[in-house]
Amino acid sequence: MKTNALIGSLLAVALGTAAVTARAQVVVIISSKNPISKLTPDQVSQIFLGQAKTFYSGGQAVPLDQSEGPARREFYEKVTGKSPAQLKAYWSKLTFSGNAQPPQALSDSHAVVKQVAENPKFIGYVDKAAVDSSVKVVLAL
Amino acid sequence: MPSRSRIIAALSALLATGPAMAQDGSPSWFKVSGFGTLAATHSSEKNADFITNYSEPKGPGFTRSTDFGVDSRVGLQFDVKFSERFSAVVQGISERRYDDTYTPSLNMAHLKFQALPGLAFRAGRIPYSAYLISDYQKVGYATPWVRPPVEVYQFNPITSIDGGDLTWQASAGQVAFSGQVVAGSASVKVPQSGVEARFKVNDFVGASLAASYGHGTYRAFYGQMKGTLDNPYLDGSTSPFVILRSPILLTPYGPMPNPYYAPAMADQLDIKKDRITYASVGFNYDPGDWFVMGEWTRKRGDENALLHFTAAYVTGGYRFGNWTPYLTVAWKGTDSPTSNPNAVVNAIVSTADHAQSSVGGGVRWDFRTNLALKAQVDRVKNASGSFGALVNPQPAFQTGGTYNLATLALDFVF
Repeated sequence: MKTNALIGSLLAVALGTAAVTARAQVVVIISSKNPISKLTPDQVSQIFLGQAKTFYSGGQAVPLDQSEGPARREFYEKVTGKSPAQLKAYWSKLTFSGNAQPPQALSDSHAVVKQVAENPKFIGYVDKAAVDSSVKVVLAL
Repeated sequence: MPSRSRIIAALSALLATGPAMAQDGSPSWFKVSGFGTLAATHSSEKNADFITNYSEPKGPGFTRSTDFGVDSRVGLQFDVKFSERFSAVVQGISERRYDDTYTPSLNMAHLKFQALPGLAFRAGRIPYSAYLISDYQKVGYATPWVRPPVEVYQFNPITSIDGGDLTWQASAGQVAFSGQVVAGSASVKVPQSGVEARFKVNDFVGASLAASYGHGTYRAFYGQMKGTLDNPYLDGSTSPFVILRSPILLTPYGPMPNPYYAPAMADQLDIKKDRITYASVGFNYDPGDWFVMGEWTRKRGDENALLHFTAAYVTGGYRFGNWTPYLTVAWKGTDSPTSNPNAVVNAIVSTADHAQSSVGGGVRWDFRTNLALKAQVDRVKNASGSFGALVNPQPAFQTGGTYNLATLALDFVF
């Protein structure tokens, strides 16, 4: 593990800017069974911050998160303007006032695609490369 | 200690359901989380103690110049989701309380029924959310400061209500609305000049409405309650209220007419089932790199002469990566009478003046995930004749003075 991490960080340093430009694109997806075709960043932000419990169409909206990682960081910075620390503080307010819990977090993009496909109530963000025909992209970041 | 055994019973019941599980997609789960603050607070006022809440018996100042208890606490929370619609929250907090111990108390314990995606009912012990950040005011990590501005947040020792509420969420275009209607009661012990008093809230009803638009959140609250202060000294036979209510004084020379006789004034000052109303408006604007938030609050003792306060603050900060310097300006005034020609009435009203203003500056450093270190300095000016936020005044204490607070706090969540 340690060696892997070391190689990883050496690679990251060596590749430098190349790694940044090669960063996978993050897209917001819903089930292909959901009739919605497009969402705005504001609508997505409201759903992931627990401020909206439904899609604008009226159907229930349940966001699916990812565990710590570059996709998560990029998604929240672009859609909500919040850094990881700000996001943590935001959810601390809602959790410890008993009002809401942060979205359920899955391990990676493939797990999110799999679960989103199952039910039109789910919405997630994934690497564009993980998208298949069971889901549809409603916002590209 | 029925409340303590109730906590233990509730916690054991929760723990018995099994180890903490992640929310793995199943409709039922169990989660443990927590928060806390370790703080050192120094006051330059040598003749009285600074406190952040009237349930605390002492703080930095006279008792000791640097105090580790006044801003410190730790909280543990258990969340259980039984099904898609039913969930429960139990939150215990250990902090310095009225008897100078850190005995944990139950800050929340309620059941939630999610009737519709945007409509929920809660019953049990729920947060008392009169002000913008009331319902998480004890979670330092979630707030910009080392403590919420005392001008607004110190006076009411109540942070939870035993009762029920209805919470509602809806979005209309770019605006997300949320509302709450709440009713219930509360009872907390407060130390007052060496005696253990109890502040009771009955018939509390309140409602709030919040709107989030873009980077801003705007909130208004109105509530009213019947407040009662049970204080063994004020309710006893040597109470100043007994003097005010006696037409005749018994003196060594025999009964004499009481020059201080003022029964109506006694009723005005004695806090017994008096209607108290709260109103507040607040906002928080946070586009990411910087934030500004503020509140204006009004408390009226409709049936009591002592409980009229107006208070407000504005805080702004700028985020330089993990460093967030911030500045707060706060003010609290009273329109209650603070002097009276009747010496007995004067003795009561002159000690009830808490008007003050302050300017505070600090910096928050998010140096690790889930950890923030804050350093803050406040310059506090008590209004003329006022004790401000201070308690335990010594004979050498002078009202209307100025003092400084310096605080270092480590906030964590897990």
